Amino acid sequence: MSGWRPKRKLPKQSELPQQWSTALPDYVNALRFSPAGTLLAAATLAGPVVVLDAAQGDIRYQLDGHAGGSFAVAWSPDGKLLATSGQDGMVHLVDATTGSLVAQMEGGDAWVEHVTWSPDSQYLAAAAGKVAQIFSAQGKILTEVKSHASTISSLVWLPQAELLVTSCYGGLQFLSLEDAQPVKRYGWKGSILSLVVTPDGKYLASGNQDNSVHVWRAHNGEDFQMGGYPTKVTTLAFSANSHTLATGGGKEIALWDFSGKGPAGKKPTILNGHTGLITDLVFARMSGQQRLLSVGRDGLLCTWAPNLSPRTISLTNGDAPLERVAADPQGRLIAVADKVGRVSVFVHQ
Amino acid sequence: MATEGTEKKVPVTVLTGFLGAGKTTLLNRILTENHGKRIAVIENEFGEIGIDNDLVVNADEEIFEMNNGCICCTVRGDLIRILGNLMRRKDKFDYILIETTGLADPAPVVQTFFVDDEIGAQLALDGLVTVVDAHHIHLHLDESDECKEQIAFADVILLNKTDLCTSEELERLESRIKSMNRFAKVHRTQNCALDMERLLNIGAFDLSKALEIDPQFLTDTAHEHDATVTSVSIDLPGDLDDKRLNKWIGELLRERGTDIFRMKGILSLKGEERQLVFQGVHMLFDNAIGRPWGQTPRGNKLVFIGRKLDQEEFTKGLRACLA
Repeated sequence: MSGWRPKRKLPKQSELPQQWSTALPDYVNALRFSPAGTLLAAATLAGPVVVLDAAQGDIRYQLDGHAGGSFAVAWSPDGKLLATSGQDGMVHLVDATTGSLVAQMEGGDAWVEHVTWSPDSQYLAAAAGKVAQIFSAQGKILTEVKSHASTISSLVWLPQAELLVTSCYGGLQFLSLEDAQPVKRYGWKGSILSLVVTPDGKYLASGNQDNSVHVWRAHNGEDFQMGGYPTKVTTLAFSANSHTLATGGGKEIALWDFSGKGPAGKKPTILNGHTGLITDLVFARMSGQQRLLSVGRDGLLCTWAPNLSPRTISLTNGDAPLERVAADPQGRLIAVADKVGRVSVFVHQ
Repeated sequence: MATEGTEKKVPVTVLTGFLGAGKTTLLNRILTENHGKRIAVIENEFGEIGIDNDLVVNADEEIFEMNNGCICCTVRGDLIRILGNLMRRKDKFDYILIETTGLADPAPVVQTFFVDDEIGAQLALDGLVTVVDAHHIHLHLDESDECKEQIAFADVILLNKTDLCTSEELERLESRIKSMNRFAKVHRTQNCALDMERLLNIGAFDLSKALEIDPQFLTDTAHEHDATVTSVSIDLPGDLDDKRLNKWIGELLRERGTDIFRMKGILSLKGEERQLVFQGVHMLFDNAIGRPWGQTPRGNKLVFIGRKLDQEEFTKGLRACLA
């Protein structure tokens, strides 16, 4: 990575205590704690969506999910509903406590790869191939936008704006609750794999197929790019204070400083700890302090300390490559899923 | 500690050919003759496929150019998504077949395996099979770039529906196809009947297998030449200078990469006991040190397939690399 000066001093290692571990039927496409942190939902590629007791690991309920494979699960932020989607082209809404079906909606002919709730729990967005839909919390369709140039790769809600941003090959589209056409487009000729937004809504950042990260200012579309990644960038996350963007891609995490005037002209901080490809990362408030959690094909879960200096870290040795990580919103538990569908939960210390 | 990349790569064969050439017939034949194996089929065109324990996924061709605008970094976004998904399943497949649309450009399909690291790590592109309707191909061969590309990229070409052609027609067609693509093994078929071992697990992109460049393709016979798509083959004795070779190949791919569809070669480097084998698609390039020369006479054999390639220019270029 030209211009990047990775710190080679490896962090100290320690084991996190494991709370429980269980084998699910297949690869876990999505892993999410409920807002209260009591339940853990896993969408499996075999089809079933399994909802586990977060503290004990027992199955609370299991949904049939989606024939061919389930892709996404999303708890409504108010904790009342769980949305699921999958290869059968369907979106299901179930009661979060009981798992009983509340509504099912047709996403379209294509796989429904993404579902996401608006921050106020009023709206559920879904992406099926080139079609984006917005539903009410009762499952009523409010709007449908079919004018995407290619398969939608990500959906994010702009905080406080009631705008949904979709990404696909060709750029970003801003969708409103009413219009059948995007209200705004930021074109960019590249293949976007994953899109995130700062919690303050100022910046959007994408990880791309061409080994780069692209950033837009949300209000005017001014954009810039960070390159030099050794692989495509499939995972990235903003910190809660909107000041830091953490990006995967390869074995190192790059942290970009978005405080002040943004990252342009600044060098990233490099976090070394993984020895395999980083597959997922997330910022979380653990035990009252900000942490970055990352997992990789090396089978390691790393938790990075509040100032994100690469010195303090906890590692746990896994058996299989890890693919997903999720944090309990109450800041106590960390869940990981490995390549063959084993879900394990650790207690943060 | 977990390790990655230790599992055996799943082979992938790409089937191309114009609509009506017989791709679906061939697919069904492969599925029938390989029953008991778990095969995933990615289809870009709807066909009547018989499946039992196999999986069929329909795909919409999505061609992604990377931001640098280079033609060689064009990949198939739909395949990256679908193949990625197939490989995550616990229940692994023995084989994957990708059927392209009749009008598909094979380059982005092939390049997907070179460019995407996750796909390259888990899947092995085995070969490109092109089905040609021997009776109707003359309607397309002169006008259609896609038709020429499908022939030029192929490792195996089935001249199908031979029962509808005279033997002179077939001779002429085969000769023309060979002038376009000298790597490909050309088979004459009816109803796509052919031994599976000539179609599947041929390892056409596997550098660890000794590259087979049939000497007969290296002698320039009186082929009927296609004006635009040709094969250039060079057979040059002697050892090459490493640095000069790198410079020549680098310049060649930079300047002519768009026109070079595929290339393969076995080269003899001065001071190297073993063969240098290489292959490429447009500007994407892959090489490895192969087996020792041993009793084999040292020398350099290269084949390039592409548009408007000049035999003399290429030969001169390589000759200048001799140590």
